[in-house]
Amino acid sequence: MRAKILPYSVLLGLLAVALFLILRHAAVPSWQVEDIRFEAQDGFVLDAYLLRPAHPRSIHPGVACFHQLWGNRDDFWKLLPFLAEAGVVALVPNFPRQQPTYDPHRISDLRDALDYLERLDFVDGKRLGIITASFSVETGLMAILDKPNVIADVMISGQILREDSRKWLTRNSDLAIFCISSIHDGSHHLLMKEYLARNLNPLSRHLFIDKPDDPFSIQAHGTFVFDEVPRSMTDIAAFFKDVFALRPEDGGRLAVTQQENSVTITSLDGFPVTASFYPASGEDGSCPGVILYPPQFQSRLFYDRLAARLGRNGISVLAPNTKRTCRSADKLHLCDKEILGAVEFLRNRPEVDPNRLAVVFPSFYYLAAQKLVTHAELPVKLVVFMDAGSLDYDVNPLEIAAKPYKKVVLRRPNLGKLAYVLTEEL
Amino acid sequence: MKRIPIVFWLLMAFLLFGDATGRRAVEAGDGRIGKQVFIPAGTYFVGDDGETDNHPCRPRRFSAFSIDVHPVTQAQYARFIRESGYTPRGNFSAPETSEEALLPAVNLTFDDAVAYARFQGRRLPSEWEWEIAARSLKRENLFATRGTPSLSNGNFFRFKQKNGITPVFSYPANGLGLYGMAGNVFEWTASRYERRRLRGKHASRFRLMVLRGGAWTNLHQDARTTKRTPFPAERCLPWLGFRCVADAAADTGDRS
Repeated sequence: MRAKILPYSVLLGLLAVALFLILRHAAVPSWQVEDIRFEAQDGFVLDAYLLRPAHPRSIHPGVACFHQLWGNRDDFWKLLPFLAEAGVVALVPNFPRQQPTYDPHRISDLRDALDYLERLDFVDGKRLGIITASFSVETGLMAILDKPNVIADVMISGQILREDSRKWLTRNSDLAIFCISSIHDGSHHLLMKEYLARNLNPLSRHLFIDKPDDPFSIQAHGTFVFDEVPRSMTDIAAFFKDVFALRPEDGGRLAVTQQENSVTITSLDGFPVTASFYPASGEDGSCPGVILYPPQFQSRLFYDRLAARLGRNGISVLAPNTKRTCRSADKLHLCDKEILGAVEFLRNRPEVDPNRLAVVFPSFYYLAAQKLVTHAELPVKLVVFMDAGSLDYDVNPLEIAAKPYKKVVLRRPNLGKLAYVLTEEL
Repeated sequence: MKRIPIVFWLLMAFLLFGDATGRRAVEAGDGRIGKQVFIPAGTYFVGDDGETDNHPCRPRRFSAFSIDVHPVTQAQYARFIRESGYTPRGNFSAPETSEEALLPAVNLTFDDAVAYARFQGRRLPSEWEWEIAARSLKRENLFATRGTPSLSNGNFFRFKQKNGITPVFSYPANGLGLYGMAGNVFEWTASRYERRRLRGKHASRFRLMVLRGGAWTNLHQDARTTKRTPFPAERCLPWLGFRCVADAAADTGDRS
């Protein structure tokens, strides 16, 4: 009798364990990232990621993430699972109008993003926060000067120069403002110290301090800190949990951790770079391939429609982001190692013909392109220089000796013409 | 042979008092040191419609007072410490060279500033007294500098350059002959910053005073005479100094 019962008991036990595991997973709410668009007040359309619970059952605090000057929304991608785990809804827009000028849109776009976040049904309008990095530390503070419902500000290595912004720090003394690291540049370093000196906030804190007696001991600038100090993301999530008084059951699990078409390519020096990859359908080694770098202040998404069009023409497209343009050490040489890493990625794709490759350089990349092309370091067939009306480092592409490459120079970012040129030449 | 002890004692005297004498010489050599400007009683405009916490532009009645033409210098504060035996709560350090003697006295808390003023029989200006003096008693003067603020007429923040405090007479005076009313160092005033403007459950922990004037850490665009900066009384900064006023014009220098 006992021998008969035993297998059933074991089976029953296993079933119970399986049921428990299934139910436990079901109990953890799933979160998702939506690709959304919203309009600024003047009708300008902003692309954004929206991190949210898949099936919201209650309201959550909301955080708007403002990328650094030459960054884009992908800068925060790695942070999103941590915010989901904390239970924070996040809006992460691209801000192509965020420029170091006095263009009012650099501030109003941030305000519009906060307004959009506040209007969402599942967001608690009384518990809003921002995450800012580098240039957006200052603009972010200016954007929230008249927003009393913004009660948390994570500042990642930026300078604060405007007196109004500094005053906000003092007047909002308990609103959990803190900064993470500083640029190791004399004046910026001191300004960070200054606003720390003025900050009354007993909750404010420094994170990621390497040496306890030196609050500026982290070298990573802006959102690079996510790559170089992964603990920073856990700390930020814990910070929001604390400030927004979140419970463990408020958070959830972000099921998708990679965007559609997203790949991570590796720079020659091992640095991870996010890119969109659209492989063309074709026989092995038959498809031409093209690498499209975005103009200044744009992200890889700039080429979404063009990539679809090129795909129809049988061309594989790789559209990388690059963050290395804002590193002072790399600024002159920009991101040549990343460009070579991208070419390497494309050459190793089975469907791509390594002898029919092209790279498109907007003017922001001219210096790196000049170096690579002049020294014939790029193993590609065609290089396209496209004047996007932004920083070109005084490099005239017409004067670049392009042997052994085929060189095309476009006077403006005409994507229709670019598609035609690429299709014809490849 | 008899002269040897005399030379020795003269040498000793120079070693002991030479530096202080030098500092006094620096002060005495500049006729502007220790001067005040008399402000007659009257109604003057304060505030600006564009300020968030100092609007609108409005008339305000004032009694007569005199105000220092420059912030208290390091040499002046060091002498006060020697004469009074006072121990500053801030991180003030006495000047070591004659060049430092004319720098504004900084790293002093609000109480340190008040102690100095009392010892001199004077007091700190209210923020409104400070403001009308900075705008030379004129409603239209939103800047204390001669002309629009720029890096040539005030010690403001300079990108990618060495920054720091400068001697009190380094830049031109305003219309009343007052130096350093914009840039270089913030100045303590006797006015409290309104608690109702603060948010946060811990705000009541702090005694917030109003600073005026801006420092070299500020952009020159922010150097308005109407700017109010809250700052906790118990803290000090290397770019925060003060100047004094007196109610009566007992011993005035220039008259406006």
